[in-house]
Amino acid sequence: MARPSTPKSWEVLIGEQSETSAEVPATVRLLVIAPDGDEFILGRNDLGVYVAVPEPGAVFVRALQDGCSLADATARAGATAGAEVNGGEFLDGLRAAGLLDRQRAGGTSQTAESADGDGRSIRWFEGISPRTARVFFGRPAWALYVGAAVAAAMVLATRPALRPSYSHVWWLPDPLLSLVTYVLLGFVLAALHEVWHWLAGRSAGVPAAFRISRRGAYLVFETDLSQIVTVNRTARYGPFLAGMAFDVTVLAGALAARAAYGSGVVEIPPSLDRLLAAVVLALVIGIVWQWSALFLRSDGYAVLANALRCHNLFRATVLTTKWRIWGLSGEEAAEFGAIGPRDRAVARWFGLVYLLGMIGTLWAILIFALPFLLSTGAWVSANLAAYSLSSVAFWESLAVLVYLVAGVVGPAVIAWRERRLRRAGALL
Amino acid sequence: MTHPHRWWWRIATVLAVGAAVATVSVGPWRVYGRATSATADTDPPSCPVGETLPIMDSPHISQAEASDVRYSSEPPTSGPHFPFTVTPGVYEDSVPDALIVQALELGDVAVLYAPATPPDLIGSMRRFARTHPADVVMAPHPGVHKGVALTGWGCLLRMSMFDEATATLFVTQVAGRYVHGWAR
Repeated sequence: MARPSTPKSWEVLIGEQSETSAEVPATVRLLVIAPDGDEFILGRNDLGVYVAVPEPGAVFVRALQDGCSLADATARAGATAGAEVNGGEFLDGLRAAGLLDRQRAGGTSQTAESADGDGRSIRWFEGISPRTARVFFGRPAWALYVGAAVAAAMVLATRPALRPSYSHVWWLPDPLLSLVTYVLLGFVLAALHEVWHWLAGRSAGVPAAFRISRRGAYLVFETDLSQIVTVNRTARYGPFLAGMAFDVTVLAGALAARAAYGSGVVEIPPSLDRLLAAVVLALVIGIVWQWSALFLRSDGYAVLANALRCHNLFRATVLTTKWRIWGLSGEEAAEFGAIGPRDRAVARWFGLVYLLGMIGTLWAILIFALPFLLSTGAWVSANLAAYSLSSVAFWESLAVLVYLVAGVVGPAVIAWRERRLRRAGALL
Repeated sequence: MTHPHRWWWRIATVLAVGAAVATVSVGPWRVYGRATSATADTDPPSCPVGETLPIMDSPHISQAEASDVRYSSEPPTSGPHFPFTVTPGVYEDSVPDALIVQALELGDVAVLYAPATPPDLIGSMRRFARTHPADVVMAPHPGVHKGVALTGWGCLLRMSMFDEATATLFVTQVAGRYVHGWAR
C-alpha cells in the first residue's frame, strides 16, 4: 500500500508568496475540507494534492464556497482565529500549492506520485460501489478477520509442525518449477492483498490506483490511497489494515486445512497440502514484513503514523536521520522546517526504528538474499550451459535467471526513473 | 544544516552496523560463513536406530552433474546434493536423490518405498507421514526393490514390511538429530 500523500503545513502556504491577488478563482469550489484532529485537511481529489491547515483556514475556504466575498471570508476566519488574518495571502498560498489549478481533464484522481508523470496509473474507482465494498468491511467482516488472526496465532503457537519453514518454497520435486510457482504464488497473494486495500478504500469512498513500485531493494505492488487523508483518522485504519486482514484470513484457512489433513479429518491431494505450506510461508513472511519494514512505508508504518497523528512521518524521519548523520542541504532544511512539530517530535525516536530497519534489511540481504542469489544463479547458469533448448530444464533455468536478474535490476531501474521524474518535478 | 551531536550519531551508527556485520560473521550466531559453505560435518554421532553409514563428501552440485553421482548406498544417506531441498510431505512420484539428500542434511527423514508396493500399504504409510508434517518426506524410490527404507543423515533402516512403531521410533530418534544449516 502506498503512503498517503503528505499535506503541507499552514506556515508554508502563508510564506510562499508575498504578492497577493484579490481574485477568488472558481476552482475553490473543488476543494474538499476534512477535519483531522486539531487541524483540517484541504485538498483536491482530482489532483491528489492536500494541505493541513488550522481551523481558520477551513472556515475561510468554506465561506468562499458559500459565496462570501474575500473580505467577508477573511473576517470569518479572523473571528475564528481571534486575531487578524490575511485572506488574500492565504489564497495565494493555496494557489502556490497547486490547489487552485484548473480541473484536470477527465477528473482523473492522480497524485504526482501515482501518475508518475505519465498518466499510466490504473483507475479502479468506478469498478465497484462503496455499498458493495462495505460488505467486506462491516462489523461481521472485521470480527472474522480478528478471529482468523487469533486462530492463526494459536495454531502457530501450539502446533510447531505447522510453522513455516524456508524448505516450503520447494513444494514440488522439481526445484526450479517450485521456485517459479512460488514466485507466481507470491505475486497472486500480493495482488489480492492490494485488492483488499483497494476494496477497503472504496468502502470508505476513497479512490485508489494500483501500481508496481519498489521499497528499498524490493519490487512491490502498491495501492495508492492518497485521498485517505480526507477521511477521519479512525476511518483510515480499515484501509490501512485491510491487506493484512486478507492475509490472516487466508493464513488461518490454510493452517486449518493442513491441521485437518494431518489429523485425518479431511482428505486432500498431498500436493495441495504442500502448496498450502508454501502459502503459509509466503503469508507469514508478508505479515512479518509489514511490521518490520516500517522504514519502507509498510502497512505497519501507515497504521503507526496514523495512530501517532502524524502527517509526514516518513520524510520527517528521513530528514531527521540525515540531519543527525550527514547534515541537510538548504532545500532539505527548508523542507524539514516546513514539517509540523508533531511529526518532527515523533521522528526523533522513530529515526531509531528507521535506522534499525535499514540495518535489519542489510542483515537479511547478507544472510538470505545474497547466498540464495549466488547459489541459485550458479545452479541455473550450469543448467543453461549443460542443457539444450529442447529441454524443460533449460527453460525453467532461463525463467529463474530472468526472475533473479529482474529482482536485482528492477529496483535499480525504478529508483533511477523515480530520481529522473523527481528532478523533472513530475514526482513528489 | 548540521546536527550539534552529529559525531555521536555517526559513531553510534558505525557501531550498530559493525555489530550487525560481526553477528553474521563470527561468534555463536554466525550464519553467513556457514551459509556459503557446502561441506557437511563428516563425523556426526552414530545412529540411535538402524544402520550407521559413513558420510560421503557432500558438496553442492548442479542438475547436470547429478547424473554422474554414485552414492555409497541405495537409497543414499549422504553425498553430493542440490543447493535446494524439498518440502516434507507425501510425494506420489519419485524425488531426485540430490534433493532427498539435502533434506536429510537438514534433519528430515525419508520414507522411501518400492514402486510396486500395494496401495493399502502405501495408505498406511501416508497416514504415518501426515502425522509428521515437518519431518518426513515420503516417496517411491526406484532403488528400493521391496519393502521400505527409512533414511536420515548417515542412517538407514530397511524394513521388509512397514511397521509404524519402528518407523515412529526412527523418526523421533533421527529427525533433527543432525541439522546442517539452511543454505549449505
